[in-house]
Amino acid sequence: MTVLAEFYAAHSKLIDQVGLDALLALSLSISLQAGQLALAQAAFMGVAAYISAILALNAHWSLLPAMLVAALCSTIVAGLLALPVRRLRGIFLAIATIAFGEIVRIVANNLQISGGAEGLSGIPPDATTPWIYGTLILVAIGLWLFSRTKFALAIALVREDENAARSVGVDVGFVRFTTLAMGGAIAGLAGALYAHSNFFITPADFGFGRMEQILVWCVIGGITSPLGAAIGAALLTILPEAIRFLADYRDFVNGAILLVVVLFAPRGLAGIRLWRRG
Amino acid sequence: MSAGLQLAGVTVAYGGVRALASATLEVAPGSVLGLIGPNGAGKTTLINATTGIVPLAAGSVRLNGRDLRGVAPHRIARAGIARTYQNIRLFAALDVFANLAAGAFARPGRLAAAHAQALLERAGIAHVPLAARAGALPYGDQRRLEIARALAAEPSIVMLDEPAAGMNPTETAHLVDTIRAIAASGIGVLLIEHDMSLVRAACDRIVVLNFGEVIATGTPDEIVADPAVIEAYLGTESV
Repeated sequence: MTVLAEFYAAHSKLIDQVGLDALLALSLSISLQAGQLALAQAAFMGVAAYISAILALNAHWSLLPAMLVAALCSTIVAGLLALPVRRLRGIFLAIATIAFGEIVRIVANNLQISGGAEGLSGIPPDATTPWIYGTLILVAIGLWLFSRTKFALAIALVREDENAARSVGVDVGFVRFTTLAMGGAIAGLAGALYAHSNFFITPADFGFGRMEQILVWCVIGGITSPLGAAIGAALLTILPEAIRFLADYRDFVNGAILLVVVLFAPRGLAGIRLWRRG
Repeated sequence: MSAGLQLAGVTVAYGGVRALASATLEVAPGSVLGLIGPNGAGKTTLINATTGIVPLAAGSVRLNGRDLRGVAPHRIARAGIARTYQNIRLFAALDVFANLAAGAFARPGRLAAAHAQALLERAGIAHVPLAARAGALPYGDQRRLEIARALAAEPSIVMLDEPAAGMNPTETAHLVDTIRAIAASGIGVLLIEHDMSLVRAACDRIVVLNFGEVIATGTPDEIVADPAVIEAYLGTESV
């Protein structure tokens, strides 16, 4: 037990980060499973992070209600974003959602209440490891139960062929709206936990760099697998620490891994089979 | 209110081109209506207009008395119109069972494995394993899986868009039995097909389209003897 305790004491920050990153990867994987390249997760995360931080700092709310209200707000933001982008597909959807993310970042950069470019500090650091992993486990269980519903089938059908999905009675617009809102909810939970485990937040925490990281986790883990996405997030969050000795070459290694996965395992780690039929 | 599918004066325009001009036809429950005509005559457009994928410029589409004009495609599917595609559109990456479950998406409850197997039998592909990936099936089996997917919806109307395309004569002959059995179960079938032997054997009545207009309607025997149809589509045997 002491070994575990020592390990935790030395690496608790990293362990928490792995849990948060896994949540973010899960949130993006829902849209990806519906075949929608909607890249606004960092913005949903940021909206919730700021709202929960403001509720904690200005209204002295405790973590749970602040987190729930923040996630509700990011869900609503995601649902509202789904309306104007409902006719966009593929790269056009990606560009529009990235632009939305930039808008959120720039607004946070300029508003008084969000502390401008300096962000907010002094957020009570009460999102401890049990909070983070408790949320991750609840979300994972929720998604697992969800994967057995008819709606999860509808998501796969929309990904495979939107028109054929319509012809069997799937409301494609509703699927797109709901997957984006679900992603907004989970990213919101991650954002609130992030704010409450980091003491301070700035707009730069929720920019395109964060979004690109989340996408890379999902690509490496496997675009059509939530479990793969979460594993991808964990691996790539731990990896930079594990190869710290490579110093300046770490980004090179990250890029090389992405390249190898895209070239040789386009379905991601979750798509690798040790044995193939036929 | 009358049962089945009624199209009256259906007109579809793509820009300045009138793909369908005032097409009128009726598919009665338990019957097979053939829809034939040269390429570009508007046959697939008629299916797309009926299923709500392309908007009507004029006319009406009624299913069991209900007006479907302007209704969203997924609601039309739920109302009881299922279709197959000229260029197969299975969910290729999913397995056979998932494709059938997709077909049954609008039905209450879950698709049971036994029911899925029965659907494969009705479509004449009982030998296909439910766990096989749809996109990996032989071409003819894919066409029939599309029919099974359409039947999974328990529709009142099924529209088959060139189901025999790419099939060999033996497979085509079996398809006649499959289509007659579907009609015998009370479903109205609209069949688009170029294979005239299949059309004559499978259909109760035939509608002929040319340049978006209905040029003839009648029984198979009447249609093959119709001079206008011979001129526009069937052609005369060279002497």
